[in-house]
Amino acid sequence: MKYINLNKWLEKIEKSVNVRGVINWFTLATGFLYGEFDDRLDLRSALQKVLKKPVPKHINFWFCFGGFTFLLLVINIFTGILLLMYYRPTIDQAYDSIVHITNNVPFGWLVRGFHHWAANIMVITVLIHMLRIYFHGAYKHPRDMNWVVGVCLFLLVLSFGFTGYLLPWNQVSFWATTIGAEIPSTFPVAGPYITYLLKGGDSVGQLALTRFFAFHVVILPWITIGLLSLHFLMVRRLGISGPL
Amino acid sequence: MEEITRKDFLHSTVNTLIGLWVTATAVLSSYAGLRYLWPTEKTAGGPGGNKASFPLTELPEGDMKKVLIGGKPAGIIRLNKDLYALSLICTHLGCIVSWHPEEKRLICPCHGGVYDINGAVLGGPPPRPLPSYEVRLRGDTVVVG
Repeated sequence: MKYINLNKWLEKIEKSVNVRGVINWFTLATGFLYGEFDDRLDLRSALQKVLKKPVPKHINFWFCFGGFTFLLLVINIFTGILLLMYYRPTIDQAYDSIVHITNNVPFGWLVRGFHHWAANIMVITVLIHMLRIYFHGAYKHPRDMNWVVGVCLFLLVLSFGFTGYLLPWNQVSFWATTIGAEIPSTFPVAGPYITYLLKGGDSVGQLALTRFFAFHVVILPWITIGLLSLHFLMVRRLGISGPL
Repeated sequence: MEEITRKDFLHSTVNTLIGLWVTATAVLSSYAGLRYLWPTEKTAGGPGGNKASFPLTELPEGDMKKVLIGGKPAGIIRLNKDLYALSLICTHLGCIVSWHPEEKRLICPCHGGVYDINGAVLGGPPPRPLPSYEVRLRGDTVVVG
């Protein structure tokens, strides 16, 4: 059997160029100083313990949707921060700034498109994730607490959708928010007060836009990050549920 | 001296491809991200009220110069030593109208809306005249907005 002898000419190159130095600089620059940190803190063995955890044999495609949702969340956080660079949360300028992002800012259409589609697909993936957990009975003791946290996260995704929908400040978002805020008004006793609070007055206006914006970009993300950490910690602690 | 087996070779090939893919993605998204964030003539002004100015020599008699005001296209026309500044966004469906010097008309290429030098509708489907901007001559500089 003939083997491919790469090492021979790799060694030749290594002798002529300071490959080690180049690689060190590369890791220093690109790998978040990984090499230098590893040298001092022995990150490799620590990371291997975390990342090389074996998963059970029965894992299949349907177990991936929690991960897909997380990926979409990361995309949404990233593109959301980029959109914040241009968005203006006032009723005079909100719509104009959205048009500005889409039409004038280089790659603005792409950033906004990613935010829009990732947000929409996230609702689907989170639902599939939930159905998988339900039909596998993975919500049962001892994972029942994680199910509760998961349901809260699902509601958070919907709240993100609801608050984010108002931000472009066009006709659709205005009326969707008006309708959404009217729904609690049928609740007994507290209903009209909840509607009043959600609308920030008698009709959806600047106050509602400012508050929805604050919820969408500051309050909900931090609650989500907190609950998500709990969610992941519990998954790690309890492991993945057994096969059907 | 160790020899490389087929398995190791495939392993490092796949790893190299993944590395190249990640690097390409990183480079391309940094490029897009930097382009997105970098202030330009179009983006720095933003959607609010804005001004534009240029030397008069850039605008010959009878011609039109395109500028951006608040990120939106506007045209400055010099005709009979007078200056006219109009929005170039057709009020019908938002196409960019063009200046026809021989007819002294602004005509929309999409559905044939016709405007005169003051923006008034002369024909076609546009429901409203073109909005105009304030334009002044300050020394040798044309100031719009």
